[in-house]
Amino acid sequence: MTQSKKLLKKELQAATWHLELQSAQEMTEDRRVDFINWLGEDPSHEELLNNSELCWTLLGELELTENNDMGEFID
Amino acid sequence: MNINFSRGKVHSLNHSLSLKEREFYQSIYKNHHTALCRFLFRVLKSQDNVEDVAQGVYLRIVRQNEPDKLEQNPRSYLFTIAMNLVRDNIRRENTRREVSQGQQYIDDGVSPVLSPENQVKVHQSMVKLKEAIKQLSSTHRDILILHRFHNLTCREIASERNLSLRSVQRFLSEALAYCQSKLRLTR
Repeated sequence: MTQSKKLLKKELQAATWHLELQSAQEMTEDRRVDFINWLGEDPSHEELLNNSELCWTLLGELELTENNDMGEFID
Repeated sequence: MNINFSRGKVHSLNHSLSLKEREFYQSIYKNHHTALCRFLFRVLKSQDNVEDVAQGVYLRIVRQNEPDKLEQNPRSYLFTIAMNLVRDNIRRENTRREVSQGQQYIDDGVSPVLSPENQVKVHQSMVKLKEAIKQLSSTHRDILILHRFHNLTCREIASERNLSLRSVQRFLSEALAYCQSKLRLTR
């Protein structure tokens, strides 16, 4: 696997955890243990998760135009 | 009986609690301490810090002071706080290691005042994000927009678009990961 594919795979893991953590109260005990295991596996994981959260926040700053089906945004 | 809950840092907080509050937190301790410690042991893989982290959890629940939420589902509330504390510890440990290895210190991106330089960076990120969203497949874009901009839950999107919950979650993760990957170079 190339470096960039590996990174993208990790970003996908981070994004998945970020979305699951949004409803952290609903997580099962096993999922929580899995999450911490993933986080401790590699120092880059915590940073990638931070990036997911940052990306999520920035997405929220974008404003949609009226015709938003095509992902059009107000400039 | 009031064992560990009256020890250490939490003890000093005990003074500022009313009798009723104290009884409430003690009942939480009595009913869930064993489960919390078992969970922490699974997570930390050692008994060493279990009691310390558990004390940290109690300290935080008293500080957050959300008895209604706590009462609704005490175990899930306690475990969520425990998870956050362990995450904080991992983050601190990572930072400590980076600093000791002389690696570039990565700031957490949280800056109370945006410097002009940071404002430019944020603007660049926004441009990249808009571009990334346009590049998504129509399904990915549709689901991301419904969730992030119309605040629909994954379950609502699943029934709205006639997809399984798992598919919606997967599309959403992929969309977010793609956007995140496009921000890489600006950091």
